[in-house]
Amino acid sequence: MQNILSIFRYLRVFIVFLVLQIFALYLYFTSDVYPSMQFVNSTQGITAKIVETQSFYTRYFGLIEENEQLQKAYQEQLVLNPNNYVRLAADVIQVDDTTYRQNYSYIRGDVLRATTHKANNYITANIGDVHGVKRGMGVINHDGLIGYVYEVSDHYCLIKTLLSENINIDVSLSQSGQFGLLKWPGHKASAVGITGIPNDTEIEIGELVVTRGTGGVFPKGIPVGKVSSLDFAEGESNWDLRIKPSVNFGAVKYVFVVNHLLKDELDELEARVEE
Amino acid sequence: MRELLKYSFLFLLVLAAQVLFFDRLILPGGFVISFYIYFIMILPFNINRILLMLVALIMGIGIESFNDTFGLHASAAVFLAWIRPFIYKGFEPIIGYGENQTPNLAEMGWAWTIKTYFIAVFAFNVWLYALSFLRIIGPWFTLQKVLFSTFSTLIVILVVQVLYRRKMNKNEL
Repeated sequence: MQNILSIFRYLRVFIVFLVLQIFALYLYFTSDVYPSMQFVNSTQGITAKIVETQSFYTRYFGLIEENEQLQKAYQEQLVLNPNNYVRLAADVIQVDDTTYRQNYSYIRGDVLRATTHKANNYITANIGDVHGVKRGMGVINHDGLIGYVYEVSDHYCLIKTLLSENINIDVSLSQSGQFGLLKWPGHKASAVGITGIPNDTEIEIGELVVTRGTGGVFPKGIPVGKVSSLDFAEGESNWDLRIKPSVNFGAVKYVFVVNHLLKDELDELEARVEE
Repeated sequence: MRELLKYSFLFLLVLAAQVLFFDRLILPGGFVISFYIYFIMILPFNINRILLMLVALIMGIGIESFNDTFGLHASAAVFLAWIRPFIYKGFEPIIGYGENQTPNLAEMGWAWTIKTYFIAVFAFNVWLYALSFLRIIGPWFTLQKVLFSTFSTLIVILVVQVLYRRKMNKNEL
């Protein structure tokens, strides 16, 4: 007994070290599975306030660019206005009918903090539960696809971006329609990979990659990026494909969270089919 | 009491410097200077080892709450706190460390500081990047990140110490 106690005393620093390590590593390795470890992320309490205050001051540096982007987006919207179109044939009548129903609505938010250099990169935005943001919703902005909502507090949310380990978003090539899965190889922010595209598919460098719209998280056809490099993967029947994301993650200023209005219906249907 | 107050203040200062400045300063190659380990390095020689690890854990979680790394920095900081006494022991002068000595440049001199700090910062970065990047980008790129990060962190910490030493010398005059 005396011996055991003395060994214990001798090793007590190491035992404390082990306990603390297990605690920290448990948090780290389960963060993908149980994202509700709420006390260590930037959407909570005083941290969120500090991040928001800092963003309030640093925001001014990007105002000019933000304005230009807005004007560009508005210009594109103007073209879509029905009054811009002249009827070409007299027998074509445009009918305002009600057979269409709004499928997606968007919740706008400011980016408080964004990273691009880590193994998993997140964006903190100032919209949360009270604005209708829910875990798992898709996130886009004017340039294209950003990621999905990973964690929500009352007034803030944490968005997992394309530059993360297990992002796995369904995308398709705009020309051939061939679809694949988005993966980030972790090297740099300007090269995101796509897996599962067979190497008999014809692909051009510069071809646009868009969202596939399955699962109801993102609308179909949101730009993801352009093909930047194409290689034969050794011993595989798939292309080793890299794309340059449309969104510059180092300079994201605002986001739109995608609210799929008919998602419940879709989920219910899919669940019924799986039974 | 005065010591406790001084170190608490320094803790907040270092934490603020890290999350408000250094985390925003992303160097080419995609790595960040982990300046906050400076605080773990300069706590007095005679600090209780368990207390040191707890302080490191709190510091790590503080960094984490701003960075959304979920335990990564806490783990690396605790590791650093655990090996710190071994490193300092390895470079102990023959006469031993003084009663009130603290491990900084002003009191220990250039040779000792560079040697011990390099080993500590390197070990910390190996742990940090092995945990986060190794399984994604493989050993070669991870090592690159570790080396770049070690040298830049070391330089920043030494520069801060030089400035700090100047201030101390002025006070003595």
